Amino acid sequence: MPVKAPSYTSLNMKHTMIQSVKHSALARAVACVLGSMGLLAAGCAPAATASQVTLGFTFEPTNLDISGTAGQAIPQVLLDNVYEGLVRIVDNGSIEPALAKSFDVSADGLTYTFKLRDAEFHDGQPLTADDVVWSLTRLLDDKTTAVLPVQLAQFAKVLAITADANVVTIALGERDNDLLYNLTQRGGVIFKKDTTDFAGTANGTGPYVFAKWDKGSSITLERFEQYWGREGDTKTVIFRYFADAAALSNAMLAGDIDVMTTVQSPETLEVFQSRDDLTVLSGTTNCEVTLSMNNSRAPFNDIKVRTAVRQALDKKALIDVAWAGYGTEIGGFVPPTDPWFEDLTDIAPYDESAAREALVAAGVVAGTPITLDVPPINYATNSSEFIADALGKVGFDVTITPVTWEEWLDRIFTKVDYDLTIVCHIERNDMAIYANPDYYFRFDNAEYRDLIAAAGAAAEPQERTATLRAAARLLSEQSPSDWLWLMPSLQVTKRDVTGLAKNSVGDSYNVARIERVS
Amino acid sequence: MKRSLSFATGAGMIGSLLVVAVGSVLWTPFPPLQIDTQARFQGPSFSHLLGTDQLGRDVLSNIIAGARTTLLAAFLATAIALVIGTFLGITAAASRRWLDDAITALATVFVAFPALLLALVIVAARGPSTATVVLTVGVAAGASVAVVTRREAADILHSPFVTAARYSGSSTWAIVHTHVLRNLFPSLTVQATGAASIAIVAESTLSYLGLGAAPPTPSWGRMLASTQQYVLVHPLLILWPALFISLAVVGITLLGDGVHERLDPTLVK
Repeated sequence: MPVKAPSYTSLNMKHTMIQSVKHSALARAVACVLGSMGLLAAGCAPAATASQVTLGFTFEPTNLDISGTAGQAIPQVLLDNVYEGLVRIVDNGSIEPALAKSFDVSADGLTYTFKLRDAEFHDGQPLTADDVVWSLTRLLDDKTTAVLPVQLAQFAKVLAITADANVVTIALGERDNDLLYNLTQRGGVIFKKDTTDFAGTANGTGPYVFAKWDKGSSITLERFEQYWGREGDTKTVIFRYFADAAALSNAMLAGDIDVMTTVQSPETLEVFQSRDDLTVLSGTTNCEVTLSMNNSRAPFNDIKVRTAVRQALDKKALIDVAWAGYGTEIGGFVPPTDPWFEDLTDIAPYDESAAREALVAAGVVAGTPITLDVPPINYATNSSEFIADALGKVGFDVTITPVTWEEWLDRIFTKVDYDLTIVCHIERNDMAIYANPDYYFRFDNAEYRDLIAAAGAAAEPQERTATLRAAARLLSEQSPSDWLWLMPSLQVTKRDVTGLAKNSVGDSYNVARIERVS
Repeated sequence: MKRSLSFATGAGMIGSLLVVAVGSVLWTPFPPLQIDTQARFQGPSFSHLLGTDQLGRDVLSNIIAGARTTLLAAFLATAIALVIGTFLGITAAASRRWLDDAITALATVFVAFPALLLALVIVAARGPSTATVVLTVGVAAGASVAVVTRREAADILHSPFVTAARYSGSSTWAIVHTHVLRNLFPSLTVQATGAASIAIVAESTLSYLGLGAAPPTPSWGRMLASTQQYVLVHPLLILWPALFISLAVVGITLLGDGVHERLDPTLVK
């Protein structure tokens, strides 16, 4: 029976426990008014901002190379905080100028002109147009290993980047509607020209300086006093890393951290909701929890097998088991917040007997051994036994192999030596990763590639939306992966913390507006 | 011989666990891996005595099946430790100086290195596997057995009754078999229980860290790891495997003490 996805709005209403973060400010104001009437002696002293905020995460970077090492942990701490691009994306999803004072796109969509602002790197050197040209030109060398393949693909339509005084021009061979967004992400980061050490240190232009890294424990960012724009609200921001969700939860409950940036075990949310001094924030993400299949390896090179895998999994039950029911079933690789979203849960719906029959028809004999590689993160470990059990019922013999992130990046992501794995793809507008046949899905479909190319070159937004919608449907019909659920953004904060981004719209965790007002 | 409370308690606890572990091959209240998403996080009840876990699996059945994994690992590691340790210890005691020194030096290096740490390093390098854990703990504990065995075997080999046996024409093998092994038995038994408790802790620790038994194999250490995220809301789930790990280690330690009390003549009043 097809499982109807709950609408995102109703899900939000059901689970949103947002206690207004303005609550404390309101209480202060009331106290002041009462105080002025002589009813209260204290309570209206000017609000004091704490000089330090500690944020809790579960996923520590392996190094600082934002352009050369995959994974979300590096941009989470460095993008928009330490490093900046010409443009940036804000909480509502819109793109605004950053290191570019202004920008202009030609009518044919082939020339982007950025006027640079006066800015300074953390080591005191000024930002120049040469830095921008050097940084972005790194993305044009298709033989380089210094940047990730996904970035090479993102900037493949760029012909040249040139500078004239403080104006930088990007010339494209064909229209690319994703260019501005891609410039807001890790590919668009501007380094000081001739930087060589990307992994060990981070010299950016952002509102925070990379100050200290206690490996295995925390990264400390200090406010950059010479920042070109509005300075960071809190002097010191500490990213603390915890080995697992339980340790993170305990730290939040014990008051060791001010913000728990991710709720990795939603079953425990009720504990936080019951506390008056804590606030639960619920927002959206672009994080599709994906059951990736190796499309280049038998039996997953057969669309019938891939579809059967999807049909074998009862997503509703899986979301209950793995994420306490807080995820949204999407049936495809597009979050409901994108204009081209379409409910695709009716493609390959849960049907165990159909899956079993399809596997027999595809020649998969009962007990065919396959391996499910599981990285050490709750959404993956919580799902793995359910998935192995469900696939076992339709004819596979699944071996679950726990892998470290290092092994995941090396063996699975880089060397593509895997059958199945579970990982959250968090990038926004990331449909293009399935258009890259060398990506670790090894999904090679010319029709899909053409649709993605056409969407990127579409002159009108409506045309782009329609094309991407068609591409999303085709992708779901081809079942290169299964999309298990869309991850909600659940955060817990101390009540006096303000300035958090509720939604997760890109790879960064922007800390500039976070403060504790007591 | 005086009855020992430690022996009786330890033997009772380990005996019960062994019966349960062996019996689990034939019967558990529910199939340990049977998922029931409608029955998640149930508290203890008549149908599920210890409740159900995050996948609706019966916790008692998993504890019982997990005993098999843990106790089998402990048994095999202990067997390896005894075979290696006894062989090397007696060989060192009965050999020429240079071989004795070499074996003693090698064993001392292993003894200086904590068995758990060694297992962690090897498993991290070779990949998660219970077999690797068993082998590593067996070899590491074997080194301790070798050191103790060498010392005691040397004493025995220099005792008057062995000298007498030698002069009366007994072969080395006969002396080892008749005199050395028999007299080593009490200390070997104590050594064995020590090795077994190290193996239980190592297997549980490495499974907890995701470096031992691969899911979905029932294992106490893995049960701890997979349920600790729910500790704030369903604390019983983490209590059961922790309790059984403790019981197994306490039981085996009591058993070792009891054996020591019963067999060591110096302790008999």
